[in-house]
Amino acid sequence: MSEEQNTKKNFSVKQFFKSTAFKCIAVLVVIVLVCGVLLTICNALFRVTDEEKLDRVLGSIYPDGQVEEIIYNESHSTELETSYSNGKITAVYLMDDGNYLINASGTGGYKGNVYCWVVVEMDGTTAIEGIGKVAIDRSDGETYLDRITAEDLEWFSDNYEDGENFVATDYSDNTLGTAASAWMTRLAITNSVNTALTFVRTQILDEEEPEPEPVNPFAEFEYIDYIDPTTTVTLGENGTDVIFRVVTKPYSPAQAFTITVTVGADMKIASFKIDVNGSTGESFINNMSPDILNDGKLFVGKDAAAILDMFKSETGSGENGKFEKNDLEDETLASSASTPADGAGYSNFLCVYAALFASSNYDKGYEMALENSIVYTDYISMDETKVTQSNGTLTYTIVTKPYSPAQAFTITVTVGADKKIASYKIDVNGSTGESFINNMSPDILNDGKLFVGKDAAAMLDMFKAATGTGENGMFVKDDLEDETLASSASTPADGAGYSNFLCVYAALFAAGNYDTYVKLAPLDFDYVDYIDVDETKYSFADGIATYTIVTQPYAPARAFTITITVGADKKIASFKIDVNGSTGESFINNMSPDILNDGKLFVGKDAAAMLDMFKTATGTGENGMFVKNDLEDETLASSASTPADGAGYSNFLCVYAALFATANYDLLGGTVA
Amino acid sequence: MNKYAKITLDGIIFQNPTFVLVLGTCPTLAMIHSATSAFGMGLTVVVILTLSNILISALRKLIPNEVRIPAYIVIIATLVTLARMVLEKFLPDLYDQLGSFLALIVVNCIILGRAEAFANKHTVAESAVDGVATGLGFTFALTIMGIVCEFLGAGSIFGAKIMDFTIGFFAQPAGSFLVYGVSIALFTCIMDSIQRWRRARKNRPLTHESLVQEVA
Repeated sequence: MSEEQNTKKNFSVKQFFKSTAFKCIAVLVVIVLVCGVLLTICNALFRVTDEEKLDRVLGSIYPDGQVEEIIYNESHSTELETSYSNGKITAVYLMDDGNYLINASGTGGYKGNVYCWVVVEMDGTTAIEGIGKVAIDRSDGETYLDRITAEDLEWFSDNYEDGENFVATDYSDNTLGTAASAWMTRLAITNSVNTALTFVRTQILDEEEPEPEPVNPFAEFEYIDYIDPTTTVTLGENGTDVIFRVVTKPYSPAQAFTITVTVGADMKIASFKIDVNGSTGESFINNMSPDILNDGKLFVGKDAAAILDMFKSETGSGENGKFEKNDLEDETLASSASTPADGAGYSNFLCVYAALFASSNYDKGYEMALENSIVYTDYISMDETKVTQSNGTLTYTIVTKPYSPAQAFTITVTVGADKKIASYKIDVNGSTGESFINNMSPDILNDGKLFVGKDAAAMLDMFKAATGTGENGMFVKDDLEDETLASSASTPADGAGYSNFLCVYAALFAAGNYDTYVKLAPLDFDYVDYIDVDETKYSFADGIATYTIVTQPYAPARAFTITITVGADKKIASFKIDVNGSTGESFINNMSPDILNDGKLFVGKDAAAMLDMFKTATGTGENGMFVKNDLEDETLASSASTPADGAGYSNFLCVYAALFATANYDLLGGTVA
Repeated sequence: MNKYAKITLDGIIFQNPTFVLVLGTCPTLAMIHSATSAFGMGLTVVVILTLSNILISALRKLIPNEVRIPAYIVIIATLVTLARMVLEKFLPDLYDQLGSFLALIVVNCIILGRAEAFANKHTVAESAVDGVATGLGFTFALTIMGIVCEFLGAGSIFGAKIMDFTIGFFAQPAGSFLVYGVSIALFTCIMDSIQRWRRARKNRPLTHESLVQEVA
């Protein structure tokens, strides 16, 4: 039997070597090997060395120049700074004529970086004279690189300004030549040239690197043209007033005013006080409107609309966030001799503008004041930390900053309505090794037993005994010299002290900011997948929840805006489509009439009843999940709700909005009647 | 007609890869904004297409049918890599102009299409002629469209400024697409006219004059 098996085995091995499969494998392997060998040989023959690349560059940019000194390249290291925010330096050569030939990369390209050779012309050894030439070296894959010609690059030489960087061009700005459709490549080239300039200024000439332009925190506010970004916003003691300490811009001949304006929750000005009068002399101050000088009587008790009404009758303008001095031609201010020659007109204008700014921006100011009042932020990554709330409980997903040697921690903390920590869990431990994790306080590692049941004051008491510090939102590692954590060997040398500190800091952050986040944190709504929660408005009064819901688009349907009221029985009391997102009359007509006619389909139903309507089809639609396939229901059959007609998507968004409204009633603080 | 002549005419005119077969649309649209880059791409494709046709035709009896596509792709990719090395070494300006589209020649439908449709069924000589002819047809098509786009979009031809008036639209991919479409339409129209004329000439009634012409 075994002889037979052997024969069969030999037979199949021979067969395999004669088979097509073997031939295929063999041919492919041979082709690949031959190609590989060929490519290896050709690579050795045709490889472009760094010296050749440099010679080419010198040939095109510096035909008569010689390299005097290699300051930096792949084979010559340097201690000079070579990395910047918009690019990196890859090579620097000092030429025999005293100029610098620099290879710099610029970020912002379509596929990544663009590398350019930049000739920085020097005036002796102490100043930059200008840009001699710019040539593109290579890129990470820009497909439109060839659209930038040498003539285009001459723009840099022609437009250099002493001490200034080149402004990166945007899509509509064709200042860098006529290279259409290559605006991202132009941006990267501009960044490359700026990187070369910054290198020479800061590393060769020892100048200070210019500070990047600060972002205006009031960019989204109305009436900001004459408002300086150093204006501050804080919350009043009653928790609803917003105090704007407005610093205006100068409006020649008037200088900047500093005015403290308090705006109440009714968006009317509660108080107006000029702290610093920008008028340039006593006479001008005296010429100002007495109704402004005397604690802003002109504005107190008025909101933005009322202030505009005072002046609008003359010019009819002053709306949509724009207000100019010409809008101020008003008899109310006539007694201030507010003619331009007297100057007080400019002072009056700045005061009126400050009042408009404050009264128009109560909502945004309130949010900004709340954000400004958040404490214990020094070691918290605010961009990555998320907070939601549900029935008075805040859930924080806190991401700390690294605190070397410890890396960032991610910790989930819940804080109840009593402002005490209800639960504490380390999701990502930033300690840099097992030994450090083991050295951490067990009372922190074991679900934060150290913090559970404590509020911020109680936690500070734990540590305050040691240093007496840790209040007013300031808490540093030295405040952690406490025996409670002694068992964790929390000395700096072991590193666990830094880990412990970050965990304590996260707990303080969570408990210490309860009052702020309960006003700021979004509610943890159900059924949010198709709702634009940021745009949706809601309020709750006398047991009735009122929503103005903005849905997400659900192609082909666009976003709907629907006003829904839900009564104390959690049933829909009214349903009205304000903006129908269907993309045409035919689609609107195809929608369910029971939805179009003031939402008859939903009125009188709560979330469970609505889900019952559709659940029979698919059995899903619970736990906050509801998708279009759950809408296979005869109730909507008359609406020709097939995807091809599109109205199915419109119907779906309306149903989803109704579910959102009813399912989240409790979250808004309602109780069953 | 001699078979090589027929292969040549097919490659350049009657089976033009750009206007008739509509292959290689990606490099076409990317390169025709400038006549120089269009011409450069065309020449590169001529070389790679010819060499790939020769090699694939030479190996056609050795490569099993089951693995012909992967084998062709390895051969084409090797040739494109060699081309990149040579261009970078000896013609850096053209190398910069072609940019990422040089590497994309590997997946150019023309190369693989001619390998599959012609080279693996014909002799080396015939495949070489087909490679040259198809490549020249591609070059001719791209260059003509490149001249039009560059003239309208930048007022120049092969970099030489002709006029100041430009229509920015033709410097953009949308303009290239429009020129491409119009070119196909024009080419088809011209070829249809030629075909009709030939058919009319073939079917004309016999007269003494036509017989004399034929005999002559």
